[in-house]
Amino acid sequence: MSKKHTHRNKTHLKTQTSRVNVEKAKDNNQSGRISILKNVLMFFAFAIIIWLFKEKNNGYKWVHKTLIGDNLKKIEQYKDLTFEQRYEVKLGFNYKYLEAIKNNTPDTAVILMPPASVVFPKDGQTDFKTADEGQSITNATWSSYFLYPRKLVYEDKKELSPLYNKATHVAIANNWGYEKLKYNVSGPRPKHHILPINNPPAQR
Amino acid sequence: MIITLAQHIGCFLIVFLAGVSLLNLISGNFSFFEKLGFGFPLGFGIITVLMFMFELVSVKFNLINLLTASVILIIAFNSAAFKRKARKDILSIKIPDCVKNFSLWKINLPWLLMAGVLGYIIYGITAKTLFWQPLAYDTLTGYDYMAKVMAAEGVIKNSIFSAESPTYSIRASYPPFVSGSFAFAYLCGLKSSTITGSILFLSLIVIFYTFLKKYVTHTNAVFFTLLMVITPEMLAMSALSLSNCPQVFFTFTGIISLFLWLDKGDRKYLYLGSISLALNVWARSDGIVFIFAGACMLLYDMIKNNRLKDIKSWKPLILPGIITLLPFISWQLFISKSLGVTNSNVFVAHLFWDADKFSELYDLVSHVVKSTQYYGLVFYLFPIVLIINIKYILKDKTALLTAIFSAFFLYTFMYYQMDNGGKAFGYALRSMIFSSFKRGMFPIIPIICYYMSSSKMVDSIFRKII
Repeated sequence: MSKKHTHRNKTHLKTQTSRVNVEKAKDNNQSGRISILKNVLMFFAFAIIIWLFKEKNNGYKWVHKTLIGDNLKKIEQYKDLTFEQRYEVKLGFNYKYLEAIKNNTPDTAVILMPPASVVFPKDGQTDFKTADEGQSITNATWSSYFLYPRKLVYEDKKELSPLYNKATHVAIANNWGYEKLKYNVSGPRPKHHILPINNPPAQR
Repeated sequence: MIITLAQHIGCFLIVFLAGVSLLNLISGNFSFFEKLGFGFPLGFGIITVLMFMFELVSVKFNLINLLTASVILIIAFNSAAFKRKARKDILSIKIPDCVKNFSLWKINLPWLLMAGVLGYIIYGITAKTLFWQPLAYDTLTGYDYMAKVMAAEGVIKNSIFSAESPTYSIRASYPPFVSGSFAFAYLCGLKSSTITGSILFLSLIVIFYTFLKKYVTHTNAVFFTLLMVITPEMLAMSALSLSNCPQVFFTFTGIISLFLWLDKGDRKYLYLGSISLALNVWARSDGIVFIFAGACMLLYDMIKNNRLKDIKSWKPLILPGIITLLPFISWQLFISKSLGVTNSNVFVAHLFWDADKFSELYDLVSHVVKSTQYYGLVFYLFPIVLIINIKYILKDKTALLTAIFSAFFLYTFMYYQMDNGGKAFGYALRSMIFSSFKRGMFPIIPIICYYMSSSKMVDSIFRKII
């Protein structure tokens, strides 16, 4: 066999082999097989992309560290709290006050609520959380969420409420409200309290 | 406690089956993951429509009559589907190909990495959602408050709207999907309604991935699912029991389903799209913008294919069009005639040109859209993808692009038309853009991510790399 012929045969064989390899690669691709090297390289490439997103972009950094990270830590910290205690963690004294009203009044109660000037006095001395987007006891709708089905009337909006004269209880706040009762309160007068308007609560 | 848990699971299972049955009524050919993703959202849609129906016939709803009606619908929908000879399709469980053909050689490490990160994010946000009660102002004075009262009184027009002692806020008069879904949780005896929001968010993730897989590889799909999920503001809001994230599910599935009908010619997606867009506006009335965006997409397709004057092209759209608009019209009539609430002073009733307002709006919207604190890199990657895909912009998924731009501009136009009073919070343009508009952009995010992922160049890049 001539050298030219042998060379032609070798080239032909190479072409055939590479064609078979291409077909094999296509088969592998279609059958879903991924080479180990590609797999590992792409794994690290995407890991770097994710790391860059997480570290270099403020929004994604916040998602990772604060939204997810800090919240999971808080959940672990508070995991033994009851349903009501979790509300108190987030809403502070505002919730505690409303919860006390709820636990000491019937569902049919009409509650006289303190005015904003009493809840948030000018000297700033108050146990109530400062109004945050209206999330305070001075907001009738917000408070009603916790006290429903009780009705609320506010001292500083009494002209607007036909229920004012039907109030059954007074929500005492920062010592305001005792003067609204139709009886004298003997003994200690807590700063915050809930009392029926007409008759003193039954003594235990 | 076990009996109570079983009761809760039973109630939610009926909701899920109601949703799946509605899918079966449309077609027997939905995949396993499509049923998994749509089951709860459609199921909650059915429950809240039933609540509305009971309201219209002056019957108080409760858990028993809602579940009974749902079971009747499950039987009716599946019977109709079986009559259509879809029994074999409906009852068969199709194992996904990737599971059937699994082998160690096909393990995709980048996919596992991204799925792991996605799993961690989902776990974290779900834990946050379920651990804390509803706390956001909008939900305590609106959606969840309305839900509690609806569950207690069995009516939509309830005591919070009473003239003697009204305690409703504007959000209590939003369409009933969100409050109704939350109310269902309370009717089941749960102390908190946050599970509903969690379920809807998880459903969005399942459907986003499933719909993406119709066009792209698994690696591409998981990358863009992760990108969509970690949109900072949207992820944060998903844990707060608000109305935006539930709406995102229906807006996304509505637009993409319509697109799938246009692209693949499968009529089940036309009906699924119209039902989804109907439920989008059943969650928030401003979802009407996305119905118009869907209409723009259909209009573009008709113009492109010279079918605008062809009556045969319009016929299949009549029933879906009615389905889509019916909830919006019904609810607007209900709130004005029955609840006595109107939104008549929110918008300026005529077109006008105010250069100062336009300039202020442009600046504010630009600021919001460019903020990576709100949307991450989505609005930065989008123009990059448009540029690298420039050769195919007018050839591939142009209809979807039409929907994206229509939705964005129509939604922004809505804020231009608002009658902004003084500078008081809640009405000034600035405060509306930084609160309401910012959240209103959420439905567009998954659609943009979907477009980016399935665009020709991005798809081919992912196919080359792994």
